[in-house]
Amino acid sequence: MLTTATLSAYSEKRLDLYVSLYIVEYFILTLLHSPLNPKAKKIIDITGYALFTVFIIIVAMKVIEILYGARLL
Amino acid sequence: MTPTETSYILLGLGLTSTGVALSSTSYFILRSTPLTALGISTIILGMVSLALGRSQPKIPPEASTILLESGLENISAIIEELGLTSKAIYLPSSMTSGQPQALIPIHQNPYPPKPKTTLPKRLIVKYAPNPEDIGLLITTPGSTVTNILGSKPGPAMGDLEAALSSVLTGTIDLADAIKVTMGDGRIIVEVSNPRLEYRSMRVYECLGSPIASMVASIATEALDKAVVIDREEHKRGKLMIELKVLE
Repeated sequence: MLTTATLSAYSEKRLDLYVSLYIVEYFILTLLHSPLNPKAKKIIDITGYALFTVFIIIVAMKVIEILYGARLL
Repeated sequence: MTPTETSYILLGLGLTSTGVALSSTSYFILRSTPLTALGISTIILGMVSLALGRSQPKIPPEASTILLESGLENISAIIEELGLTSKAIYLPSSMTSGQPQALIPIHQNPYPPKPKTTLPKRLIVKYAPNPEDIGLLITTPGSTVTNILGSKPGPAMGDLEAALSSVLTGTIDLADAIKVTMGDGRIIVEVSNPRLEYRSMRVYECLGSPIASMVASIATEALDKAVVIDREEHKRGKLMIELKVLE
């Protein structure tokens, strides 16, 4: 929430920046609270895999934008 | 499902569905990046709430405390009735009938002999050839906690610390952190912020507190050697447990 408020206060329009920061915060917080209960860990891991996939996609789009100048989103 | 678990799951479903609605509306209709990002963060919070809902204990903590205390009161009554004053020797599952157990010698011996054969599954056992080498073989809270470990931990300091952390700070969440130091036939375990309060009970003088009992059981299983809780000290939010390994 603080991240969203701070970035929107600076009129940040890039959605990928918001999402990237959320993903980094998610991994930092889940790492700080490990080891977790096995049942909770399963859902946390599935969410982590999904967010990591999204992060890789964002990085790939940025690389393509830098290399070819084409903006996919 | 307990009420707390239901609350978390409902919260998680609510946040996830609100997040999906907010992010899709903000992206396609309102074209607002901050609101879309807020919707995405709400989805992530919803998933975390669902995970927290699944991690709630099935049995309320008060019920667990009742079961633990009643068991300890019974053991304490037996120990007082028999006038036992010796410290318990924690034996690995290879020396007992399938799980680590505590042997309380009837007669005090500063150098108790190590059992040479596997002890039978009985309450009163003869653990050495001499007539006075008789003791009580007791299942402690630590005996059952080793079942939580998926595999037998290794004898190295790091393996023991990982096993203790996995159980005490992870699965049963009875402490914040565990630190292990090994050397000279002794193991020192530092437990930060233990959540079970120490009470002055006769059974604790023989078996150690429940957390010390769990630590000793896991340590004996990891080392595959008998251990004794030599010293237990509570100070400033830390529980220091010193184990002596019997060679």
